[in-house]
Amino acid sequence: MSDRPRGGQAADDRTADTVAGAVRWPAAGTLDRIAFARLDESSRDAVRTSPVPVLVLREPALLAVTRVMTGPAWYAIAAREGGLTISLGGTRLAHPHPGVAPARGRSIVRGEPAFVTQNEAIWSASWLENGVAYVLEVECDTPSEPRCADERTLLGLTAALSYVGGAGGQP
Amino acid sequence: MIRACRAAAIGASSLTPTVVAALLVGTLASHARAAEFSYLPPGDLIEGSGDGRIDDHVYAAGIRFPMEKTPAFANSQVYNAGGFLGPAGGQCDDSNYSYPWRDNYCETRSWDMPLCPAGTGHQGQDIRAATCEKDVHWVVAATDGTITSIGSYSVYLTAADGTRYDYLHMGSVQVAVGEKVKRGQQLGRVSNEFGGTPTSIHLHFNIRQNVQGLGSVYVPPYLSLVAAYEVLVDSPPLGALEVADCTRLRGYAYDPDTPDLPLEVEVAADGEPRATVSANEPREDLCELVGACDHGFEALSPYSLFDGAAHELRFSAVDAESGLRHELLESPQVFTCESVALAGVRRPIDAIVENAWSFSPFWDEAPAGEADIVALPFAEPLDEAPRLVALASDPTLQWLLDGGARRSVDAATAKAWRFRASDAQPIEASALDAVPERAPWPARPLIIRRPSGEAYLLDVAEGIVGAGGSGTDDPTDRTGGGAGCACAVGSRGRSPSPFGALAALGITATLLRRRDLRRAASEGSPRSEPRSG
Repeated sequence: MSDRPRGGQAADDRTADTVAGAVRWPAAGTLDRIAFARLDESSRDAVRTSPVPVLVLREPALLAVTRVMTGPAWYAIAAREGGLTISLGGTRLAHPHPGVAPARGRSIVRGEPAFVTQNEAIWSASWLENGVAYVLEVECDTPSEPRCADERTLLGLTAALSYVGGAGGQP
Repeated sequence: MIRACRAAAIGASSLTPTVVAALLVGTLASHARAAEFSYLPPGDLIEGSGDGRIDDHVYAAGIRFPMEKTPAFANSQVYNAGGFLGPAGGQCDDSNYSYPWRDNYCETRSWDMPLCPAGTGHQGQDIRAATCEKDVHWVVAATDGTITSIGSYSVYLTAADGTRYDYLHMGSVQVAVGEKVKRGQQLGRVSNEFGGTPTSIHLHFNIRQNVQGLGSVYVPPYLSLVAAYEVLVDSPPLGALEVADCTRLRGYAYDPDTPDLPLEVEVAADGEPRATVSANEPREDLCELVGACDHGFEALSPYSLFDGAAHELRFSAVDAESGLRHELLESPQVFTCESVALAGVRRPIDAIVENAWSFSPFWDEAPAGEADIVALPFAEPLDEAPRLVALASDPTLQWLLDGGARRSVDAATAKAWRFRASDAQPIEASALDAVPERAPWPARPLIIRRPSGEAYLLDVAEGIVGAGGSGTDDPTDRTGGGAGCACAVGSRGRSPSPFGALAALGITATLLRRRDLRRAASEGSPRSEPRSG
């Protein structure tokens, strides 16, 4: 992560407590235009203004219920379908906390070290990619159901993400 | 609650029944709450429940406590009574609904938690509401933000800086995905929702942040919650603005949490903070009610607002613990005072003099027209710093040395000029007698300023050295004896200065000391009198 926002990005996102990382926008050739087109209009608008590269769930049934939201330095996706609640998002603002040692997760997601954990039966994976901290979470309406018995559903979803754009990489 | 009781009365000179009632309710309730709350240090988990993170860092400073009302009790759901691995008893056991709070971040779990000593652990903090009832107690937004996900038992709130606050097990959810919420807004109620298989009645609260060097992780929420809760149980300052007329501003303020300490009161005019006053003056009517007498304040009305227009005066006490401002009862008030009628002589002052005398643009400087100012006769410039003497045998008798003469300063005048008793140099009666006495020192400072920036102290004409020169702009021209000068006496060179006798008493040293004191004051030393903001 860099301690300076990249040129053209909103430097005023940076506060005394945060550091804006330099976003590396993926090549235009990696854009999934089909997935983008499957988003509703509101979500497509949100993608266009996202300050970070937007990853979405590629599955058409999930894209149909995906809601994309953006903040000053982040985006978030909410999707609820078939007994699953899926939350996905990324931010380029990092919080430097003295006393917290750098570490790398033991798992691998999208080729990057990732932390995989379970919180009250909600599975999550977090990783750094393109200068952005991403996190994907899966919650089962019924925590005891097989899809939330282990991390396989979560990891399966992380393997099926598509890049659909952002303010620095329009489709 | 107290705001709703605000009375419209203006100019009340004593405690109104409304104010008394508010004081009593606030005092009793807050003392009880503040006295009760206690918490164990971060990382001090229940024995056998894992290794906590010993960390004094507040990861999300300034959040609002996520339950609407107190009391609330942070402690483990699993390792306390009624929990899966807890001692005998039910979840509604009194022990679960009592202080002290106890951290349960990093409590034993099996999945990755990079900030936990074991590398695995519980991601958040469990919090019980005031009572063991589901769907009764409101859960509120910790900060402004966007609802970014709602699951079957989860609600995620994402703040502008990307920090995410997770609320689990709520019922009666009141918000929708994509909704912008405000800090303190109701999100749902404390419940036991857990995908059809109830958990205990509590709120599980996480804070997820992108931590530099790690990425998005669950950070310790415990001390952030402690800080937020302390603000919630902290009693707001109480007080009232009783008088705001063209003579004085009077009232009182105190903090029930620290009744023995003085409180600062911020004065705002037309929405702009302009000054502070210390509520530290003794008032007998407060002694019994508040338990300490020294919480009154009184200041002369600010000359800067004497322009014939209506101004809104707002008084707010500053909570010493939280720094939050709480408006006093009977504030704001409308303040309308006619322009000051200028009379006397003008004595030039410069920035150094203004600083040395602690003149305040807000309190001391009156709006005045250019023509009215230049029509005033000149007198000699004000001394670089005040020289105050007090009779050695009776320090209550004070004089200001001015142009080789002494001018009496009574207690009210000393306060208005922000002189302190310690400022006065003792002087023997025999030495004092050698100094001619002239008109008493003006009751309060009045500064006027021309558009060009030249400033003057307005003084009485009688007995001022060099008074005269109406209509001239040359402050060094002391030859005039115009209509405004009734009795200019004691001008330099006309007679031997009696100041020589005083010099032997160390007045020069006093002057130097005063300069140092004034300089220190201007650099931020604490003051106990009204001052500009």
